[in-house]
Amino acid sequence: MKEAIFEQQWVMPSAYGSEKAVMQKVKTAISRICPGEQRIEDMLTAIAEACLNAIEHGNLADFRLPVTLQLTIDGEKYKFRIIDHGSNMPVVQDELPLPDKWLEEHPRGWGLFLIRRLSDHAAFGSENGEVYLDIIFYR
Amino acid sequence: MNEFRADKRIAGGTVIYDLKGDLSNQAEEVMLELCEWEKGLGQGRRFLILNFTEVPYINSIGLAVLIRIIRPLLRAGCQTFAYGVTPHYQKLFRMVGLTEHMMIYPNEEAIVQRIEHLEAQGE
Repeated sequence: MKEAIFEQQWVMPSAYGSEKAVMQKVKTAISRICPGEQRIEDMLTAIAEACLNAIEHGNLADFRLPVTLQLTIDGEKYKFRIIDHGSNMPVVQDELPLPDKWLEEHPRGWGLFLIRRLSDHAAFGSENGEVYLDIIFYR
Repeated sequence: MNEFRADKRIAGGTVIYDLKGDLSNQAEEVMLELCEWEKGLGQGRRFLILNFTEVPYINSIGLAVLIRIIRPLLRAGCQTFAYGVTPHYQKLFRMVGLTEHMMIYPNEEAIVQRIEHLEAQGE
């Protein structure tokens, strides 16, 4: 593992809109550390969707429970870890083909769909009773 | 708080909504209750234009809302167009299949020309 050149953590309440506020903070940080980063919008969308997942599914939109976002930048990648307080690993179902997904009565669940396509790697894990999603963008 | 609004205009057989604010959870109820989408656009209108010029943020909830609007409109024989969509959000629209059913143009004038052409062809 390469030595980190930047590490920062943000904590937000489990409330809709928190993800947008944290997007701005991440954007400011990355623009300062890595000006001109071409994939910044993909990163911001991916982390916003991960934060939404954590708020909705991990913390069940309980305002009192925080969502934590950690960003580590090293010479080869950006690593985002989004941590919620859900004690159960999410059940990630196989993706339906797009036409079938469109036929669902409530076609939700696009968050993980987008995260997987925008990032280079995304994987759930758990540690100390907390669930996290790691999202990696290679530089 | 970024309140979401959808201002309606009508031009002939076309309904235009100028969307203002984030297309996220706060927009869900507003968008779905704009009209009875299952019944089409009403009064024989067949074209919907969505103006995204003042939509700074779209998330997966917003994408799902668009699908829930476009899907019944397709069944009702209506066509949807959009303009003012940034390249990043155009990419997201492509990823989720929205661009199969919602044509994106650079501006409203270009869409109006396209609709006039379709109407002239009787489509």
